[in-house]
Amino acid sequence: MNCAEAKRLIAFTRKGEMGPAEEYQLAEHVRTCPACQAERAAFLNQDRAVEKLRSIVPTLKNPEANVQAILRRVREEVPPQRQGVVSALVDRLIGALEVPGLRYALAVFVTVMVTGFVIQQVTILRSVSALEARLAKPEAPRIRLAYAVTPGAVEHLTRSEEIRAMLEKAGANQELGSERLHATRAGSIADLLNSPESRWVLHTLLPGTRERGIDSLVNELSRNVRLVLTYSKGDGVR
Amino acid sequence: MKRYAVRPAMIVTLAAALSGCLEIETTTRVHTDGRLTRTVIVSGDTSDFSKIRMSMFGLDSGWTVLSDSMQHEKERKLTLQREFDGAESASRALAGIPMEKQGISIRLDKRFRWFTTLYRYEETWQKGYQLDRIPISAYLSPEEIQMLRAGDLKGPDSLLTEGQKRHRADLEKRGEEWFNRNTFEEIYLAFLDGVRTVNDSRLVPDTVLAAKERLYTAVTGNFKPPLTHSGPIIGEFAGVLKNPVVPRVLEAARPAFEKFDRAVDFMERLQVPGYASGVVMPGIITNTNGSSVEGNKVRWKDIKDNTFYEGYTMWAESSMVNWWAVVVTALVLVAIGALLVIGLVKKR
Repeated sequence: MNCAEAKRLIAFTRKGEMGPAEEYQLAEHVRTCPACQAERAAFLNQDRAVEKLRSIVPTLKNPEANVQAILRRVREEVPPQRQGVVSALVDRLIGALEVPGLRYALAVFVTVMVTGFVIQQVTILRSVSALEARLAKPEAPRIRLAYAVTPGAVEHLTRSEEIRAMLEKAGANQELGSERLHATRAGSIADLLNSPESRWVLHTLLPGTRERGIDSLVNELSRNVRLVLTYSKGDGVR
Repeated sequence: MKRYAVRPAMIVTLAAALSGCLEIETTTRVHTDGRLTRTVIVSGDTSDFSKIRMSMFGLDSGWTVLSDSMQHEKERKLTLQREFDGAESASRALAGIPMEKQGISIRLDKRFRWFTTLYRYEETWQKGYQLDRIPISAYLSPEEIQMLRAGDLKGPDSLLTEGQKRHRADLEKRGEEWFNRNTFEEIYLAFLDGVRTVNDSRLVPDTVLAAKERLYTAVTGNFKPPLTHSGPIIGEFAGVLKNPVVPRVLEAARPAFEKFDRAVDFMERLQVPGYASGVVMPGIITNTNGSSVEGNKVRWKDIKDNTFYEGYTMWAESSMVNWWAVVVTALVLVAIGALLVIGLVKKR
């Protein structure tokens, strides 16, 4: 193979572009001919560079905005005498709506307005329904009673010999006004003090006290106890 | 002189004591711009009209008589109306005067919330009871007063539990004690001031102070139902103290006794059996402490029960839809939607 033939075949270096005999002859010639060897190396370099360029995909930073900008320019080039005022305004607004930032802002605005409306209406409906329920069926009074012995009551109690003996035994009359009996159910002072729970408390406070002594204490407390009553009716409306 | 008109039984039942069947119904219409139109209808037997002074309820020449008619032979119905620029001018016009007029203050809050406007109306009645020497809280807890207001201990004994019966009896006892002590204290302190003014060694303040419980026992023991005007009470003072200086003391304390009697007269006249109040709010009623709601009108019945011994605030809240705001918003949303659709169509 001579140099002229070799230079013609150098361009067909990819697989399948020449036959095996031509490929062998070209390889033998290039091995022995420095000029063709250099020619082939230069061609392969160019081919690699082209392959690299092929792998590059061209991208724009903000393609949509660019497209819209181009479209706007195209629209602006339309002669004004062919558009009405309304049409021009609509076109401008549409153009403005095509700006992504404005579109997001509008989406937020629509969401806020619709949600706000729904929340306000639901709140009104709930308030009205709660009010109707309360007016139609008043809640039963919730009563929590606590009875506190006031200083005056304790002073009065301590004047009673029998009671004083009992309280001294229990050591319960030293701090005036500090004695408290709590109950979680409604009723009167007598109901509370006569309840099994209260009697149990009194028995515990005053171990060994006879039933009659407790009756006496109950009666005294009934007359002198200070009522502390927590009372509510309905939904906190006073 | 009417004696024993202010009975201690009112402390528990809080019922009216004056005979007759005069009824007063007040309705306040709240306008969207904050103006108030207050209408008062007084109805009842013509003879009962003479027992009250209209000025006590804030009704004076500033009111317009809408109608004054006789419904049956002796039944009169008087309708008065007055328009106020706002809550402040209403409060000024309805402000109380001690022993002359029961004060009413009005407050109106308006909050704009784009789709809705929220209104809150408050009408506070000052208490009618004029004696303040001993607070009711010394004898009844706020919760007990609340129970009385709610009427939980009202009704026949047969409907109450044994405990409630005892509790009611206990409340009545303490209520009566407070009423008697409070009334007595007013006269007693006036008398004591009179003793100090006279400054006579035959009757010194210490003597009166030492005799306080004796005086109280004598007064409450001899009057059932007990204390009202000063006359019978100071008569008892003279009887217990048996001192020649007492007439001079009574003369020195006369202005205070007269003031006391005026207070009792005022309290007597305030006892109108049927007194209801209402408010017509803009929009839908969303919350209230009223006793009934009809449409956008809230009504409070028997408010005298609530306002006599303590001040009472009636309140109502309403919400009005701003349809113009809804329409504006809807138009904006439709316009945005239309622009988007047109834009899409043009793109194609």
